[in-house]
Amino acid sequence: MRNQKPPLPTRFTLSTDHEPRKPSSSAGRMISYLVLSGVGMGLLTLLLVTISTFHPLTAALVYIVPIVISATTVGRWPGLFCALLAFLAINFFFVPPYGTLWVASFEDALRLGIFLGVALVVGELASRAQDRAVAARERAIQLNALYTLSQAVSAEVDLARILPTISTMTCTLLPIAHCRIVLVDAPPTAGEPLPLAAEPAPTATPPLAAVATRETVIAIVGSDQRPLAEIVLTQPHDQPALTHAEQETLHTIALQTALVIERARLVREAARAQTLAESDRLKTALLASVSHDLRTPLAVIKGAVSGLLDESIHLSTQDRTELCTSIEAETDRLYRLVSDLLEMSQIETGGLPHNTTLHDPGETIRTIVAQLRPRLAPHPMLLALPDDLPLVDVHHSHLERILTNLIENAALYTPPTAPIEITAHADAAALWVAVMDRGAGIPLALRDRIFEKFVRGIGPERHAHGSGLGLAICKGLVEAHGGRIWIEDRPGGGAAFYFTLPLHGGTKVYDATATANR
Amino acid sequence: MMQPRLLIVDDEPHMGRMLRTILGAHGYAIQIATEGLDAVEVAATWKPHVIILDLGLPGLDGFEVCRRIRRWSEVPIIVLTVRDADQAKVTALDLGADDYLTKPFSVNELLARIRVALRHAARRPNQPDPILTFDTLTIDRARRRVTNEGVEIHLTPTEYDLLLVLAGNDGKVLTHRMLIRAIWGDNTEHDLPALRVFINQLRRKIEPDPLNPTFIITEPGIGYRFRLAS
Repeated sequence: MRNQKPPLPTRFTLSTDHEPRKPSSSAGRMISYLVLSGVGMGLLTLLLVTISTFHPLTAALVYIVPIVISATTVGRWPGLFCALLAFLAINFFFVPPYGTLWVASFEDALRLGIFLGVALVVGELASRAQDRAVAARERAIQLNALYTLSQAVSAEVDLARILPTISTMTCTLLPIAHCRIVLVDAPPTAGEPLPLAAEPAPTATPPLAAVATRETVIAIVGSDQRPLAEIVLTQPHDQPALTHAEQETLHTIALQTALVIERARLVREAARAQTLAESDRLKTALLASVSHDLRTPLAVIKGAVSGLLDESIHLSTQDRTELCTSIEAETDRLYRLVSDLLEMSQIETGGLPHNTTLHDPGETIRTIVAQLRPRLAPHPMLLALPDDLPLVDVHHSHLERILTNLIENAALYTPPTAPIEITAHADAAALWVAVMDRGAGIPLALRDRIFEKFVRGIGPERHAHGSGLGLAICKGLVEAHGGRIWIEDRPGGGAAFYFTLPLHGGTKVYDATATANR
Repeated sequence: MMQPRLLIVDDEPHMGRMLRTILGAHGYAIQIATEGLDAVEVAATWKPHVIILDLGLPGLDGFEVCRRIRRWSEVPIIVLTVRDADQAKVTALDLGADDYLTKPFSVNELLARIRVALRHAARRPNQPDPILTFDTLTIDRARRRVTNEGVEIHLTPTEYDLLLVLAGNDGKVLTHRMLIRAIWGDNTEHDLPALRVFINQLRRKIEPDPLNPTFIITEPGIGYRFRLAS
C-alpha cells in the first residue's frame, strides 16, 4: 500500500462516507471492569465466609466460577485479576491461620499454589477461547460481506452502479471513515470519455474537515499492468492502522474492483468491435454491389464489340443492329451510374455547386416532363400545375435532377401503363411538389431507408436498372437547398413522393454532414 | 455432335441478348434463363451440354443453382463473376463448377472455355487414351513414363500424381483444394505451401523456362491450369 497521492488524472470519483467505528476497549472501561470484579469477588467472599462450613477446597472451586465468567465475558485481565483476588481471599479466609496471608502447613501452601496456577491457566484459556470465537465470528461476517459483494459484482456491468456498492461495502468491512474510488482515464485506444456521470456523488454526511485525517491510496492495475483506478481510504488520524486481516480484506476488494472495471471495459470494446465489423460488412456488400453494376454493362459492351469484330462468324444485319443497340443502351446505363456515383460523392463531400438563380418551377417541370415522356412511354404523364408558381432560388441542374430521378423512379417501379402524376403548389414559405404513381406503394418499413444509398425497392426491375442512388441523390439535393423530402400513401393505391423547397431565406446547407444530423 | 446446346443463366437482358447473338452465330443452340429456379428447370428438361452461369443472380443465387444441378448432373458449368470475388470463384469451383470467367471477358475466351468443357464432357464415357501429348511433352499413363522431346523425365510419385491430375484436366482450372485432395486425399495435413513446393519442383522438371511456365499456368488466388493438349 502506498501512502502518497500519485499525480494521475482523475475523470470520475465516487465517495461514500461512513460513521467511524468506535475504538475497542479504552482505559476507562478497563478500570470499571476491574472495580466491578473486585466488588463481585468481595460479595462472594462475604457470602462464603458467613456460610463458614465450607471446606477450603469447595471455596476454591466456587471461586473458579467468577474467574471463568469474567475471563469469557469481560476479558483477559479482569479474569486474571479475579484469579488473584480469589487466591488472596482463599488464603485469608479459608486457609489456617485464618485472617492472615500466612500459610502454616506445606499442604495448604501447595493447594493454594495449585489453585492459583489453575485459576490463572483457566482464566487465560477461557479468554483465549473467547477471543478466537469472536475473531471467527467477525471473519464470518467479513466473508459473508465479501461474498455478497462478489455476487453483486458478478452480475453488474455498469460501473456507475457497481462502484458505489463497492465503496459502501468497503466502509462496512473496514474501520474507515470515507472511501473513494477514482477511475483513471482510459488510455488513448479508447478514444472516448468514460460513460459515467460527470459530477461526484453528493456527500450527505458532514465533512471530516474538523478531524485530521490520514489517507491511504490503493492503486488498482489491470491484467496488462495498466493503472485502472485508485481506492482512497480516509481514516481519522488517531485511529490505528489497518490490521493484517483488514489489509487482506482490502486486497480482496481491490481485486474485485479491478475485475469489475476490466470487464466493463471489455464489454464496451466488444460492442464497439461488433459495430465496426457490421459496418465493414456493410461496406463490403455495397462495394460488391457497385462493382457488379459497373462491370456488367462493360461485359456486354465488350462482348458485343468483339462479336462485331469477329470475322469468323456471320452476323445478319438484324444481329448487328441488335448488338449495336445493346452497346448503346449499356453505355447509357454506365453513364448514368457513373454520374450518379459522382453526384453522390459531391453531395457527401460538400462539393455541390453553390451558384443559384431564380427559376420558374412550372417551366422546369414542364420541360423535364416533355423530355421524359417519350422515354418513359407508355406511362401517361399528367401535370397539374397552377399558373402562378413563385420563382425558386435553386441551382438549375438540381431541380431538374430531383424531378428526373423521382419521375424515372415512378416509371421504373410501376406497371408500364400506370399513370404518373406531377403536381405543385406554393404557400408563403415553400414550394411543394408531388410525384405520384399507381404502383404497389412503398411499405412502411422501407419509407425511411429507401432514401439511403443503394437501397432498392421491391419489384421485378430492381436489379436490371438504376444505381440504387437515385433517391439518395434527391434527398441530398433537396436538403442541400433547405427542403424536405418524404413519401406518403395514396388513397387508391400507389406512392406519393413529396418534396419542398424554401422560397426565400431558407437555410442552404451544402455540407452533407450537417444535413445528416438533421 | 449436332448443334451443342448452351444454357445461359443471367438476369441482365442485354447480356443474354448479346450472348445469344454471338454464340448463336458460332453454331450453338441457346436458351436463356433469368432466374435460378428457371435455370434448374431448363437444365433438367432441355439437357444443355454446357451451362454458363452468372454468380450475381438475384433470388436463388448462383451457388445454389450449381449445388442443385450437381446433385443429378455432371454437365459442365462455367461461372461468370466480377474480378474481386476470389472467394466466390473458389467456392463455385468447389461446389462443382468447372471453370470461371471474370467480367468483362472477351467472347473468344468464353468460346475457348466452352470448347474445353465440351471436350472434357465428351471424353468421360469413352476409354481415355493412355497417352497424353502436350507439344513436346508426352505422358504415357500406361507405362508411367513422362518424356520431353524423347528424353525421359524422372518424377517422384507425388510429382507424377500431380502431373496426371493437371494434365488429365487440361484447359480447366483446378483449385488448390481440388489438387490437394486429388493427390493426398481428404484428411491430409498438406496445405497450400506444400502444394506450391511440388508445383515448383514439377515446373523445374518439365518447363523449358520454369520462371515463365507454359504448361502449368497459375490462376492467382484460385489454383492452377494445365495448358490444352495438342
